[in-house]
Amino acid sequence: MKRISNRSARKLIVFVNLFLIFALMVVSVYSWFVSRLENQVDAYDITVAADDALELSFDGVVWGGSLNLADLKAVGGNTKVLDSMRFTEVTGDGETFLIPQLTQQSNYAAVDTDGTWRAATANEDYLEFTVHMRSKNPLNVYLSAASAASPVASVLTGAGCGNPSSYSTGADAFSKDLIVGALRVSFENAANSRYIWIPKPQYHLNNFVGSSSYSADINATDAKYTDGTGNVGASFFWNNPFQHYYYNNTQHTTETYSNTLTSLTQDASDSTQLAALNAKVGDYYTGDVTFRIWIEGCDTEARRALMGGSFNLSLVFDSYAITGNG
Amino acid sequence: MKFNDRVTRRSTGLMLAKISIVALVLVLVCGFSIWSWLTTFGKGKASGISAVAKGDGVQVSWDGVDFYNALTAPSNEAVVENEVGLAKALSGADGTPAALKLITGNGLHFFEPTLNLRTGAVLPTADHQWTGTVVEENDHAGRFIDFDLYFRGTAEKDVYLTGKSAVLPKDETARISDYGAFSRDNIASAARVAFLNDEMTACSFIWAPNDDGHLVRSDGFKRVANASSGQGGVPSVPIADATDCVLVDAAHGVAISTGENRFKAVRFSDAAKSTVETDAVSMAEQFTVQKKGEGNTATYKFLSRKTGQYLAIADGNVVFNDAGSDFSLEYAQGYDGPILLSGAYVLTFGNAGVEAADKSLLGSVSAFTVYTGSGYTFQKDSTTQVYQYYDASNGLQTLNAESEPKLFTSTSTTSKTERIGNTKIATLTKANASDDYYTAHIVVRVWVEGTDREAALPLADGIFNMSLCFTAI
Repeated sequence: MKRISNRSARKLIVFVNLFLIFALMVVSVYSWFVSRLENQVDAYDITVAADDALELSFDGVVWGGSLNLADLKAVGGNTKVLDSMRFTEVTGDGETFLIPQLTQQSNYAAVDTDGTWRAATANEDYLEFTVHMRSKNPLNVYLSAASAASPVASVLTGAGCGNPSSYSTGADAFSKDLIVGALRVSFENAANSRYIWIPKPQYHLNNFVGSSSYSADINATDAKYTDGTGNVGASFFWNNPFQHYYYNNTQHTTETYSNTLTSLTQDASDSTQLAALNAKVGDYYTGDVTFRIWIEGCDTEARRALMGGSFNLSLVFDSYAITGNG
Repeated sequence: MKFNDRVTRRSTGLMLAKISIVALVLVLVCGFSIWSWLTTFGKGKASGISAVAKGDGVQVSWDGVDFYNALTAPSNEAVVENEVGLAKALSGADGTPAALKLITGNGLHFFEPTLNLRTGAVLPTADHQWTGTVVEENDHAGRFIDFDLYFRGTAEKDVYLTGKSAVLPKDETARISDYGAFSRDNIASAARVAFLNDEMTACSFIWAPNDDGHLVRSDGFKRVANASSGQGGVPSVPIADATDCVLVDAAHGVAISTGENRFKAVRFSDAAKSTVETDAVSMAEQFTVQKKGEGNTATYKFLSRKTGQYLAIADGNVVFNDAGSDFSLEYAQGYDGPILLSGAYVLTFGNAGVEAADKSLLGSVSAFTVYTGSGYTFQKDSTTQVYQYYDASNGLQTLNAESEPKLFTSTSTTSKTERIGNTKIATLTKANASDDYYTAHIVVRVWVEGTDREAALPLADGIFNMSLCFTAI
């Protein structure tokens, strides 16, 4: 298996503030079909001013109107999580993550379902953090539809695209920043159901079996895509980009995750309710939510052609006062 | 404290001169501090109502007992023509101002929706209904204000609201909004006044004053605020009109100034790392600064959110695509620079983060903060406004001169002698033939309508004065 080393520092900047968790992440990732990579993640110390209704904390001890993931420290130590963060390509259901053994094929790497897989490590291979919330008034907190993940490049396809992939040129060129299509964000909502959000399902990277060429589609639809063999949806990584495919613990077959969000909308009964701050502890109503963020190796954007891509991610909280009987 | 307590009507022995048309002027000085739907937890303040009624043939009273030609605070003198009477105070006994929340309703029934505290949007149910609570008649404190108004005269007359009535910002130079160079007191444009019968079972009409007062959002907006004089202490600065431009950390594509973060100052949080110094203008579309003490440089670009393209810095100038001003990179003593010049203002990277200041203040204490993203202006024009309210059973309903209840508007140019809506509010009648006076009793209900576009965060916490002027024919 080809090893890749001496990568430049990978930057990750995350803002967390009151109603707004603004996670600005710039990562360079490599498809697991090529290699694993221990990305270095650095962080700038930048925060966004906050309002004062909802307070946030990583540890339940230090509260403030704003949080910065650069300040997130490992439990029981002073090590900053982002200092050891790698964004290794993993596969998972939003709670359990695996790193498969890979075998290199002609232009891609295949998962060795008979090989030795290892469990992925939180805050090394994927990002995991809990946001504690408190308010002096009862609140319902939702993941806002204003949350977004977006490629850094403003032009994604064509000769003028930003951060172009070396796997295509000219009019067929595409940006490595399309890696954001493989981004996943999971959380457990207030009803204790775990959801996986695919921020950019419309990004789809085509690589027909047996071909060394790629083509990018930034307007893919909720449909199954062929792998070029004529077998529509024949194998997991060519299936519907609007679904989350992952390897289960048996590491032999892929599954689709049912609680998948490809767009964020919300209503009073929505899956995106992160917490109900309706239990008063001392002077505050409290709650918390845990996020896990990873690059899903089963996604077609987790490809060698998109190595070195960058994206931004913002997680925005909406809160609603609980009045009357709630 | 409730103001709709019923008081038994009774006549006094005074007889007043008869005239055919009587103008009653009721001046309500309402000190409402309004929290818009975009905020929460704050209690609005209603400091009090005083009233003045003038007229030669018709008198008014708060309680149906003591009638006055003039009602105003604080005197309570004898019932003599042109003397002053009781005030209508909304403050509690301890002087604590009454509180108001925003609601929506048709004058008779009200609804208090559940709102997104960040955006002000209503939280819908799965079938697109609004979540929230119905405001109960006996639990309206802090939501709407009722007060009784009694009329009496010596002839049978109909009472109308006249164009002399007004709901005006208390002080258009005070309480400047955080969102633009206008007073939050313009919340007056979201006020509603309903005229109800004494049983509060029927609404003559709803009056929506200030139809020509509009809060207008601009998505290409930059503004500076003077920290020393409080937010909003300086006028808006059109740094990038018509181009929603964001400052971007070029190395990482990180927008440190975004529309989503509008009006949040861009700052480096750690004082020890907050100072930046010039490194170089490294590319045609970006510039680089270095954080002292870290050895790290940070390069920034300007990204047009309208076009998705970075804006070029040619010869030190950033030229915006639309009507915005030019920036130029300059250096000045006392600033770690670089300084981006825009007309008479400079955008700097100083100890407090990204700042803007009047060019003439270069070298002095940094006292300005840049706010970015969407901005607002408040203007008066003839733009058509749709008046609505949310009915808990039937959804959004539109109100106009033909609806039930009717809604009439007025503007700053409405004739003072015009009868608003030309719909009578009450008729002076004798309950018994032996009564000395023709009388009427109405309930005036005042609230701030949350569906009004002016019921927005930029106007939160405003105060307005209200004058009700009547004519009896």
